[in-house]
Amino acid sequence: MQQNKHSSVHLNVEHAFAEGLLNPSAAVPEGVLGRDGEVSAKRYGVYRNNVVSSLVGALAANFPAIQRLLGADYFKALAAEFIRHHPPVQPVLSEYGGGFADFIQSFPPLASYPYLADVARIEWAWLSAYHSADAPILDAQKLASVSPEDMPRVVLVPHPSASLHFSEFPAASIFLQNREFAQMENSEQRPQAVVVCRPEVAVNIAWIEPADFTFASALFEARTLGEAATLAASGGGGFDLNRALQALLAAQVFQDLEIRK
Amino acid sequence: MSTKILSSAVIAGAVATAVAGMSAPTVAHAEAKEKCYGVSMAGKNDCKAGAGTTCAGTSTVDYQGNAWTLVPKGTCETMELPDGRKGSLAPLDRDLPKA
Repeated sequence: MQQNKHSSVHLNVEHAFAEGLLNPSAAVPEGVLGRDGEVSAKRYGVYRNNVVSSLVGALAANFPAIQRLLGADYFKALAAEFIRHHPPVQPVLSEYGGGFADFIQSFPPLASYPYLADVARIEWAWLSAYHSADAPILDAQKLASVSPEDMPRVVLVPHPSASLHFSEFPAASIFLQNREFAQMENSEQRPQAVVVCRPEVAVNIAWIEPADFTFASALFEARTLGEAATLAASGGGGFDLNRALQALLAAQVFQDLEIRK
Repeated sequence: MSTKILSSAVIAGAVATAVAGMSAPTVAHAEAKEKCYGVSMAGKNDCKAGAGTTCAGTSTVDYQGNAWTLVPKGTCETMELPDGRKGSLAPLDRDLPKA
């Protein structure tokens, strides 16, 4: 009984201490005293600062292109704002920032930079692909050897690292240039569509013709080749089945195939 | 119905053309990369993977044995380096920074 009481007091202290860390207007928790025995906002402030600045540092490491685009000072202020609204929910700092792109999109002061959120989405996809599980890559010959009757019922299984991105802006070019991957191609083109994936050790960003994006995203939603091709063809807009398949296979974005019964 | 149903033949034909039009597997492999230890110049090693893992550019000696660089697959162990050094797919004990 004694121990229970003790641990619940301890939990309350911990809770009160943690709660004010991300809230600058919260009162200094009980028990944080200075040398004079009085409540010390200054001492508690050290913890507040450490928590926020370590998380700002984590976001800067996860979003170097966004930091470069905004400048260090603006990024720091934006990140601190994000951290207050969306504190980490798990302990791995390299997996912190999943909601950053959406936050940027809805952050009113950045409304006149609408491409930023798309760049952040690609940057997050790059990091997620880097840390995703290893998986085999579909051998294109395996697909080629499916019989013509079965071909429309083929479902291509996306590689666990792969994600598709469509932007009304040249977001992929902006990302690549600001990550010093030094790729200048397509820099003016818009809209842009890319697939981010890590077939082996290095993360790849491969271009997809924007007109082929509907097809690619239907495949990523586990639609069959036949369904995806029909959907994309009925949308019109210059879809090219050959070109789309070739781009996706070359980018090695699938790990396997199944034939839907 | 304005929906255009593509026939099996059209889809199978497109797949065949796409696969045939792909660069041969050897070319795909030439672009594949592997981690190669002991070949990077000081401060030029790779690896950059977000918070807490950023070690790119942290090697302090040339050819540091426990630092890696991405190189085209198959070229790591045959790479010629000064004084008889070779690249390695696993970390090496040589050329470690002095503690």
